[in-house]
Amino acid sequence: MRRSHRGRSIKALAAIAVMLCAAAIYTAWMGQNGHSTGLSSVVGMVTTPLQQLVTWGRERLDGLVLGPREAATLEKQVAELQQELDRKNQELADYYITKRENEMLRAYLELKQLHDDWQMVDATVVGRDSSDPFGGIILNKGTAAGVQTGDPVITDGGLVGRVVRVSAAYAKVALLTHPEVGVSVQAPRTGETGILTGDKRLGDQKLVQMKHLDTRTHVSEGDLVVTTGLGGVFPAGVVVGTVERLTDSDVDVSKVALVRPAVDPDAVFSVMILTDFMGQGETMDGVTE
Amino acid sequence: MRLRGMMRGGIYGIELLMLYILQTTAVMPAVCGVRPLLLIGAAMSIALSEGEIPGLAVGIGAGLLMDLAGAEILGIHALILGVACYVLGSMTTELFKANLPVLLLAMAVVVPLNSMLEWLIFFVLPGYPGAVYALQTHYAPQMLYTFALTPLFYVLNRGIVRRFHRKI
Repeated sequence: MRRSHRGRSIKALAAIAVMLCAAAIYTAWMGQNGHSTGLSSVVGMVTTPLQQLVTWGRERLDGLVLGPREAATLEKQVAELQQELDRKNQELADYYITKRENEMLRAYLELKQLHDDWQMVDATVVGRDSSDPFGGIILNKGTAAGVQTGDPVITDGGLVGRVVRVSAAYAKVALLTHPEVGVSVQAPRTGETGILTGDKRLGDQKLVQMKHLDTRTHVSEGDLVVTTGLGGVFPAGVVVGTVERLTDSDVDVSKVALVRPAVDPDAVFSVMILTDFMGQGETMDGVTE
Repeated sequence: MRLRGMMRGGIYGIELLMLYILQTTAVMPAVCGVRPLLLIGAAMSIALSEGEIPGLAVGIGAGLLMDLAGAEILGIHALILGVACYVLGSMTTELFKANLPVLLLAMAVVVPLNSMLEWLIFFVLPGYPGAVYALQTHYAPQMLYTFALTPLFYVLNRGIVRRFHRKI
């Protein structure tokens, strides 16, 4: 009895083994041909969403539940990364400052090569005179650096103004918009000359006026305006700005060109002071001022 | 007592220097294109608490700093502020209590007086065009902006006086 029972069990086991082998061979053959079996599809339909759900849950749990050691490690890593980021940001800021200085110095070097008679002192804008309605600027160089009253102030973009007050360590510059800063200028395209001055109303629009143009002037919008060098106050050929529009003079029949200065003084942080140039201080009749 | 006075003097000196730097470096936000004259409010509020002689010294010091910032005539602001601070200091010693309404009243006189004198001396007398326009667009907004900051200086200097007057 017991022997026959064991024989049936062995037969059943063998039958199951054969079936499983057959199933394995079948699925292997189907898989090789890129098909899934119906069984695996059915199982997959049930298990895949569950797997996804469990995986999603585990990921969330991993984020929430950290062992004290992992949390400390992560905090340390975050702090290190923040430090690294701060350091990189500082390096980036230094890079941009150095780049700007380099560009500026290169431009000044080119200016110096173009005008070998110019003696220049570089200066930084350290202040702006709040009480000056024309917005004068204060530079960090004075008589100790060889700066004198009347010295022209330029950037690589063009003329900024003129030193009006100087002490040992600082100089105050009146901008082109100040009525006291009269500049003898010309429009190189037409060769016409005029006097460039500013006033408060125009200065608020960041404009200056080129006065004493002929009524039949050929100066037109977009014309470049440069210094003539006459009067010995400013060297010749320094860019002043471009003509924005023409208008009639308030006092006589001449025309006035409204000029937008090439240099926006609000955006200037570094300038060059021309302490000496050929013709400085020489008036038109050759008498030194 | 002397040490306290020296300490207050030092603190006022530092305050005026810091305000001079703020006034001349365009750190303060521009309102209607103008920035305030911080040194006036500071000097007047110090004079309010300290009396005529320290007030005179502070007024002259603050005025000289303003002159250094670019006035064409060195000493003009020192004169105006020196006199104004002396008068305010002596008035609060003899006549009025040293409080915010008195300071506001004094500022309402001194700020326009300073701005109008600046306008006359540095704009009208040289004959620059657009004097009325400059008064409307530069001097008047600057007066209002300067005046509006008065309570800040009152609170600041009141705090300094309370901290360093009779406690050390």
